[in-house]
Amino acid sequence: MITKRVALVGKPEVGKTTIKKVIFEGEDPNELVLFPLEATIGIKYSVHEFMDMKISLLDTPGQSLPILLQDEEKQIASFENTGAIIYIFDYPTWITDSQDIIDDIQTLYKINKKHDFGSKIVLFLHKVDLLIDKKIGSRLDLIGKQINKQLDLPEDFPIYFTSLHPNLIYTIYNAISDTFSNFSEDSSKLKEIIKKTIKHSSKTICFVSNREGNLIIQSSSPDFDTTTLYYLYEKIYQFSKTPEQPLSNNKFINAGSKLLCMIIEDIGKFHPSFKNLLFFSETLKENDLNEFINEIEKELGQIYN
Amino acid sequence: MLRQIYIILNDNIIYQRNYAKGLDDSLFTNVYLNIKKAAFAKFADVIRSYEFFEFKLSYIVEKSLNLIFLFVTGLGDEFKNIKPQLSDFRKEFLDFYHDNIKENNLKIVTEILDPIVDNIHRNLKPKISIVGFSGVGKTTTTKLIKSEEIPMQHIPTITGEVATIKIGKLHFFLWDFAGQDQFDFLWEKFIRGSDAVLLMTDSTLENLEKSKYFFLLVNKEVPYARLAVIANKQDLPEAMKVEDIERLMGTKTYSFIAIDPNNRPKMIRIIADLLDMDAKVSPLLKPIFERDTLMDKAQKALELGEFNETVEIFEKISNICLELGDDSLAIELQEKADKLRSFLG
Repeated sequence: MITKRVALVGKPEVGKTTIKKVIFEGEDPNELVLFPLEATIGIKYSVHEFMDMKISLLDTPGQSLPILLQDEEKQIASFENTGAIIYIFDYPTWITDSQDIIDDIQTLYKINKKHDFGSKIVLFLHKVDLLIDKKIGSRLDLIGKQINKQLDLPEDFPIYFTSLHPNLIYTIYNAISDTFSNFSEDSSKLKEIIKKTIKHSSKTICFVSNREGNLIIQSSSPDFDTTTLYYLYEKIYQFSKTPEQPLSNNKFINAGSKLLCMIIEDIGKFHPSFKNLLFFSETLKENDLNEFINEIEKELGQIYN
Repeated sequence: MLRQIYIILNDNIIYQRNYAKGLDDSLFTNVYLNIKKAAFAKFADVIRSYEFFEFKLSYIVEKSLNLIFLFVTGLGDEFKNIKPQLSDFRKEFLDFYHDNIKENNLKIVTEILDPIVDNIHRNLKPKISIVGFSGVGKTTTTKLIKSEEIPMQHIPTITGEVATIKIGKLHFFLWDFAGQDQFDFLWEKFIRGSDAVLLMTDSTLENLEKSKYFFLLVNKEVPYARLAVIANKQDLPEAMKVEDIERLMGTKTYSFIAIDPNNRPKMIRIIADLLDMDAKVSPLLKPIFERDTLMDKAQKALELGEFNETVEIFEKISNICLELGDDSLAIELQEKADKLRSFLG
């Protein structure tokens, strides 16, 4: 089993330890919101199993973030050999003090380059439950683009919108599982197959969920309307919560501003880390999507049987 | 703004009033267990306030009776304003019902409690601000809501004006701002405490680009207020389409014609929709309620594969949305209906 290191970084009180506790220690998010945790002192390590690997998680104290971003020795101790550095920032701070956050992320980028850590930098915009907007899908999409634009770096960072709100709790699970699954060999192989399959399709997206109902793979054609993403996550989560509900009639799904054709296939038989393969498309019909599924299953069959 | 009030006796909700979307049933159960734990702890404060995601939860507890009064408000409401309301409410309630609770024959008379609670809603000063540059129709809209004669000639508002509007039995304070640049130093002060902000525009590109300034102001002063763009002057030929404005501004946009006196209910519905008001608050909100009910229905029909029915419902909602000034949603739903229809062949 391979081990990957992942570091959680961010300003004080954005919720790094809370996220860790809710996801890996099964604590009640409602309670943690009402009775906040004390500040973390010193780096905390913990190890968690995920798919075919072990994740060693580093929870860094927010109070010492400025020191961490200056002190090379500390950086090496924290970030060397990390597969991913997750920078967590919250929506209220983003709207009032975006420059400060931009500075942090740019510094992280420079540190990562300078020491050649080769870590993936991943952004979690947390507490999106505070963004009350009738057009939440477009708003999140817009904010995501704004952030990468303001960062003005050679590469765009993946941004996940997260929340511990009981109705949005899947956002944080998805963000973590998608980030971690990038290190899994099984999931990388499947991701390649999916990418190849939908390469020439238009306005189509594919997800793979695991047994817990969290998304481990997401791959889409470049012209896919990303404002619908938020609604898709929600729908997928609802499906995973009510497995007794027959999905056979669900040919279409109402995802924000669009009506998408959808299709689901259980691919758990190939590997225990996988559960559902889901396709959503604005342009393609059921038959086309079924063909994709056949192709993918054929390739999976060759690998796992 | 006060969104909900709960009174909980021996773990049972004995009174609940909903003005706007707040905690739903499952969320309430979750929250209540945690609050109870905190409220009945040995040295716990009798009166306290928590931020719970997009809401502020404030409670006062009567330990001897196992009684909790819970207010659900927006994050913008300050605890120092909520506190006296909570204390007064507890006192008033106990003056009435203390003996009944003791004797175990409590019968809540909503006709007595409702007006008291409505008054608390008012005392917490629910505030709606209309912002925008000069001449876009802020005062016309304010006058429209107040049912005053609509000015056909532009008389600039000096500094600002406050009016009250009623939605059902509820009172809201409507702040009309002076739109001239020379008053912009006042905007920051005036906008504070807003529950909703209407950014009034005249639907011209120039004005819209300029108006983006107000997003900064809102983010800085009232980040938790609900914000919508009002695309006014939609009757003019050069007006940009609502769906284009919505895309340009990245914010929910409603179409409007302030000089049409028939549009008064429309503006009230826009405000109610923005604040997620409970449909029971006023009969005027019936279309919003209908829209939401039909949305659920369409969702179910779609899941069951009853596409003919779904098309029908989508088109019904689309018409309601037009009436509500939500043009972009109307178009979206029409497109969805068309797509389904073409699939059905």
